[in-house]
Amino acid sequence: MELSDNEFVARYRGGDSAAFAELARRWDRRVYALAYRVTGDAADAGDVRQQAFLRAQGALSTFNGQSTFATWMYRVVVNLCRDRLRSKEARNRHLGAMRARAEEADYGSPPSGREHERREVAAQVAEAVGSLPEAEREVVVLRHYQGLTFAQIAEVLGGPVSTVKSRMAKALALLRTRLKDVDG
Amino acid sequence: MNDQMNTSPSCDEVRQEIAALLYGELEAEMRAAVERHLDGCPSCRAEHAQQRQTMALLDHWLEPALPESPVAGVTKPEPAFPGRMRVFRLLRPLAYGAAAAVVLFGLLILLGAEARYRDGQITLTLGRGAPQADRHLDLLSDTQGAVQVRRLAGEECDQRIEELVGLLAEEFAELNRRQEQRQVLLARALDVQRARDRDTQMAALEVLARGVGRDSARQRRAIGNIYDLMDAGGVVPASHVEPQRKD
Repeated sequence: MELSDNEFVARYRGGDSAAFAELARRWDRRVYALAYRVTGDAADAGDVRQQAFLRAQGALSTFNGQSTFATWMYRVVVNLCRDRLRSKEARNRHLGAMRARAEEADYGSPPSGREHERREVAAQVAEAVGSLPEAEREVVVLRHYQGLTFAQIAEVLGGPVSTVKSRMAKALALLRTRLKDVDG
Repeated sequence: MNDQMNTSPSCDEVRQEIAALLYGELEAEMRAAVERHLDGCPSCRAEHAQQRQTMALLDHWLEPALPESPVAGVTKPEPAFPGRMRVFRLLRPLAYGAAAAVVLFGLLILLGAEARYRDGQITLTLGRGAPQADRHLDLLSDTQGAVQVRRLAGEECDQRIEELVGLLAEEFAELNRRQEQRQVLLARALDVQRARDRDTQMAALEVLARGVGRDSARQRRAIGNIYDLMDAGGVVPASHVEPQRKD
């Protein structure tokens, strides 16, 4: 039977260094995807990815298990993303990069007409999500792309579930306005 | 809308719960209450349709491809490679000495070394490549950061150095430098580390700084940081000349 994340944490704390490698393998894609969508920059996302696992490895010895590893890991990644975006330079880079990154995304063979339209829509969605205020963007990415429930998001971000739901509603309203001309 | 069943939620309450309804998160009783409201409220029904449409558009933004860089490198040092050297443990609290280590490591990275930081030790490997080289030099050219380090002392300095060195270890990238130059500067950097007293250390720092190129603004700022550090240590560098901007 496959072990849970917390079980791997317990093994790692018990001296099994390979257990962390397994945790990292499980979480690598999720961490990068979250960081990419929140920061809007592949380079920033790569750095956040690296830092997140470094920080996780360093901190697991003091992980008290009060929250799940998932909640803890998401919180680490979100905080690292916030640090990235805090500088003005990063924010400017972020706003300009979201659309470009989505357009440049490698989907394999040269696009057909339909594929080109789909990429254009993806680029516009990326830009719209990237233009959201940071708090609303975090909720959208965690709920829609990472699949966390609103209760889990509240635990990651801190604060009541009602606040998370309000931010989601606000985010969807803003996105509706910014994507009103987009035909999916 | 709280956890207790509300048989007649208001429009404001329902609109806050529409996303939860669409994601299938609502408990049975709450779901029934919201759906009853939607059945009888055209405005909220329209809001429901719009949120659903917006969520469908979000699906067009696919998950980004995971870059090649293996996460396993985070947990295990890379295999031996020509020029790999085990360097030092973090210098313990002397504010200026610890700050010198930060600048030292940064200069080593200018030389094209890749460093990994783990458990208080840093392993340097020369000659490895990594993408996005230029961006990672920003830390080295952060004059404000260098001054901040200089003012700290004791435990605060330790903590700051830990953070900075950890960040450097994560930010390193290879520059396009000749191997020979790297070896020379690495030797000079080791002289700094091996210095037995502050005067010798500062002199070795100056020698190191003279060997760093001044081709880029970042390099010039990094050199400026070294001289600031030497100034803070009460040492006046004999060869210090204000870097000239190349426009």
